[in-house]
Amino acid sequence: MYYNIEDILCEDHLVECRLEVDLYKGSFLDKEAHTEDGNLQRGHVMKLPLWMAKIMSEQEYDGIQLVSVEILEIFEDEFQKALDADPQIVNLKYHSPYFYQLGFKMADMIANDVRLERFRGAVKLRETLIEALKKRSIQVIFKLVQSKLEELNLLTEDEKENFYLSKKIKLEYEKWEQRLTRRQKNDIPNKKLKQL
Amino acid sequence: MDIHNRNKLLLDLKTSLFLPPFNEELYSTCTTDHQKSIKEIQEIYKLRNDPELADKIKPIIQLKIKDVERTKRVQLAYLMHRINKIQSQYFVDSGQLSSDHIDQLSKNEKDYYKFFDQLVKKYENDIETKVSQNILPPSEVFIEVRVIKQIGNIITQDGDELDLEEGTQQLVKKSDVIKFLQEGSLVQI
Repeated sequence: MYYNIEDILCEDHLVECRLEVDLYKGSFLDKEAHTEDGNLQRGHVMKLPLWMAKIMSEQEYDGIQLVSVEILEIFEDEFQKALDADPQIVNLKYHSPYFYQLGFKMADMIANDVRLERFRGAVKLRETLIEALKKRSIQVIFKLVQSKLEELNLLTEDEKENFYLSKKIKLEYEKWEQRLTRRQKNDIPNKKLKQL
Repeated sequence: MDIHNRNKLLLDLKTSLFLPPFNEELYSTCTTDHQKSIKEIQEIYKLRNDPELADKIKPIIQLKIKDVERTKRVQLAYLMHRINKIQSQYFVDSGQLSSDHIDQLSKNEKDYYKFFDQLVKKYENDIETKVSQNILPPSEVFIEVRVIKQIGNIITQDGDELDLEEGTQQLVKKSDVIKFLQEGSLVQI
């Protein structure tokens, strides 16, 4: 996982964080914070990559957590209900190409027994993500293997991987069915293959 | 914290089926960023003797170190991805990279490829087995290829004649055309 590019790109997704302590020379975290002395004050709201937000939420200064992390809108109750109702119509890639991985990482940051406003809990979030992936994989990829490739842009990275695997299996099955790979002689003249 | 350049470096790898040319500019931007952060840490660390600031600088030094480690991770992931691709393509192409693939490598990667090739060949000599050829068991008797450059007529191992005309697609045995696949004159579909 250390060298995994998808993992690194997924963790660079920005999340909103609120600083709970005064941070000396903390302005390197937020380029848009124009401070004279380079310090950030308690209460400052900024967007941090998920990996940094996770580290800061686990660290303490004087017994206080450095930041509190806002749950992303796409993992709040309202959005998750839409996903429960009909996951195929939701454009997940627009929100993040690593939607599922991001969801699991956010769920890992919250204890299972914690209940927040507009958030249904880490356990429920994981269940929703798994169900959404199952339903989308079956319906959306089945349609794509039959038809248009431009709809590929609507899939997240996990779904694209499943799509390419499904396509490969379909092609191999068709080749096996036609016994194309077992012909001892090249029955089709070369020019006809070109036309095909 | 330069997330934009780091992301760009990794996303660059997805623009090609094999590898894109080594992105010297972005890679050295990440290195400069890395070195600049280390200097900033050293500057802040000098304040540890000030009793008012000694406690205050601890969290920021830890965060800056994490940022430096993150840049290092991105650069290592970039290099490892390229090295793994070179190694896997070496075995897919049966012990040799095509000239098109070699053109995409940096000078250090070309040296690495030569070293890797020598290592594999030495191992093959020691154990008297060709491990670089046909390492993946064939799933098909014939493979479909597209002729990119005009080759003309060749005689196969079975004694048949094969006309590899530019622009045609043909079903051929891999052992008859392996040399042309490695050169890049044919492309397997």
